[in-house]
Amino acid sequence: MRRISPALFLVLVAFTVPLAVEFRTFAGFFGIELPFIAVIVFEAVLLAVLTAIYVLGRITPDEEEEEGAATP
Amino acid sequence: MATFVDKFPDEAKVVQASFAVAFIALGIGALFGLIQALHRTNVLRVIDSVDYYTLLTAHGVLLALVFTIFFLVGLFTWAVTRSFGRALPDIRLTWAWFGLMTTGTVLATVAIVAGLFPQIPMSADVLYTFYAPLQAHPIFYIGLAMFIIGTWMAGADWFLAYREWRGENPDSRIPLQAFMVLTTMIMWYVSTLGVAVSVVFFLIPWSLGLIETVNPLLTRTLFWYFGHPVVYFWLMPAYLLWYTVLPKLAGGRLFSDPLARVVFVLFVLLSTPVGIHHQYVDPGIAEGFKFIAMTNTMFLLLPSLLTAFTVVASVEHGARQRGGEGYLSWLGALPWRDPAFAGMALAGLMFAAGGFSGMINAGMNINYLVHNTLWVPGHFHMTVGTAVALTMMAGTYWLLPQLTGKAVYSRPIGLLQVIMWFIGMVFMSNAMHRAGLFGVPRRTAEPQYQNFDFVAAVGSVGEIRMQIAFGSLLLFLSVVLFLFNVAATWADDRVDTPVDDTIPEPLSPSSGAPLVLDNLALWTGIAVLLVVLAYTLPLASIVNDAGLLGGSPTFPVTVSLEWVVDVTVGALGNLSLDSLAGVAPADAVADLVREVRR
Ligand code: HEM
Ligand SMILES: [Cu+2]
Repeated sequence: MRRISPALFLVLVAFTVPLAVEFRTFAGFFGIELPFIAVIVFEAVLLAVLTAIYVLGRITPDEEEEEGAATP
Repeated sequence: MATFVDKFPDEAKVVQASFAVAFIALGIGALFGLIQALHRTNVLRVIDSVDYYTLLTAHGVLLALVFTIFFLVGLFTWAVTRSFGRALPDIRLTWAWFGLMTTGTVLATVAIVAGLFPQIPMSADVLYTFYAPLQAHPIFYIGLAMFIIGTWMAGADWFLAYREWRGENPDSRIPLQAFMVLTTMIMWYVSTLGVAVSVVFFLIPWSLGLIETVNPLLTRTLFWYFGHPVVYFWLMPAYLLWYTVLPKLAGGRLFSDPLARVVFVLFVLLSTPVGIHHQYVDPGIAEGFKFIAMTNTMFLLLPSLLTAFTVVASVEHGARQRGGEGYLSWLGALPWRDPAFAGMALAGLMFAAGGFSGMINAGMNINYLVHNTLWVPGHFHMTVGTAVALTMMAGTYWLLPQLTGKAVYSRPIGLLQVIMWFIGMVFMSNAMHRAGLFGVPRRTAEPQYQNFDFVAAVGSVGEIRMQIAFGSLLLFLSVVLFLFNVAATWADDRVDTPVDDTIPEPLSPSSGAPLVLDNLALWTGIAVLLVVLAYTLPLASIVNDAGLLGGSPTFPVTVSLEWVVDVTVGALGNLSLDSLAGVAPADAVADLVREVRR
């Protein structure tokens, strides 16, 4: 998995917020009405995925990357 | 390695002083912003609703005028000195404009904040748009006038520096940063004329009681004549940083110097003849004039899109220099750990969102849907409140070390701070836009009506309120972290190389730019011509309709209201207040009179 720097991780976390906040509106376009809790669950899923990518990138970094290359 | 403060110690002091005033204004303004947001969402009420306008005025003036413009004069002083590579002509002139602007700011702020204390017979609850019929204490307008004259002197200072430089470099291209400063100042001179006329000829004499009435539509129109260009005055410092500093922070160079010059020239030409787009619902201005303003506004999209293209291309170039690859994965190779880079990049991104909501505002027909609703504050907290304010905070992390010779106290705190601002603004601004779509009004402490409920298309109004309140809390905390970081940097010891302050040459250098771009007199001429074309007829018809001094009596609260109070009290006295007690309208008037006297 590609190594993500802690800074990039934080920035990506920030980007999940607008996605989650507007998640219900988006579903609304298709006539699906979601309760408030759906937003929280959706945000939690996004954060979980991001964290997984981050952690995996730390434990098993891609071969060709030397240490710190993608840690700007 | 010698940095700015070593080469130009006197100029560095002025820039530091300007930043200090800007940051004090930022701190106070942000506190008031938090109080307001919590108040109008009914989460926490620490002030009386009666005082809401006082805080809102202070918030608007301290952030949109004082913070942004003090940062601008500091940044421009740095840019002019640095790009000409020479000290300013006379540092006494520099301190003089700084002193005048600061004095004006203090006077205006005192007049506003005095409104919180009933014992002090002074108030200026006129909002940062300060047009009639709202009236402030004369001290407020006098402070504003001093502030504006101070900015004019600052511009003169930079033009004098240009003249000296030109004398020694007759055949060189104007350095890019200096070009940006000079074109921005031309726009400022053209546009502040409107507000200066309004303040000096109408508002000051009116608040002093020398003239009894003004023509409110005229003062509004003169304000907006200045009120749109002022948004570019906020934005141009951010553009200067995006064009000249952001590519460097990303590890690359500016894509094209000539394109940057074209953009700044377009702003000189187009930013003033559009002000009427803030007055789409004003009666008394013919639809045709509004339509012309809308068309001109749409033309302004061109320089904005050129900027988006050039800046993103430069940043991508930087990422590829750092080893970034692929269509999108180069984004991961950017220096996100650097708060100066991350802050500016996030600010630019939010500007794109703000630009979209701005196009809704600019369309004459859809504007009616959102006019005077919370949508509008939602829009400008993304533009001036983030694109500009966050770029300024981020830029500070790169500039302050050059100005003080000290390294930034904590870069992780800096990064956390800019990310908190972004998240806070996503919550607050997005929810404000939504609230505006249900019709929730702006500029009110009590946005609810009796026997009427706002309905949300998706979710609930309560959620929207909580988002605004939560977002504002994050924003306030972000400012606290920023101010702490800046103060701690200032308190630190000097180091040898506080920051890498070089700015590499653009990929496509200035030698490729057509010479005519540097012909400042030509652009000034065309700009003035466009303004004359756009404004002569509307202004003539406004004056024709209601006269230069109109017939509007004074609206609320100030010293010079005394005569209104006396007349009313006299009249009511004849009726005897007591005999009318219980009659609702009379009670209301009596309350009003007591309020006004207070
Ligand atoms: C701590 C961050 C901030 C918070 C919590 C905040 C909150 C608010 C709120 C809730 C309003 C709307 C009040 C109403 O219409 O009733 C408002 C208005 C405004 N804000 Fe902010 N704001 C913040 C930062 C900024 C910044 C950085 C700027 C500009 C640089 C800014 C400029 C303005 C202006 C110009 C108004 C309009 C005032 C008026 O209607 O006269 N704000 N703010
Ligand atoms: Cu405008």
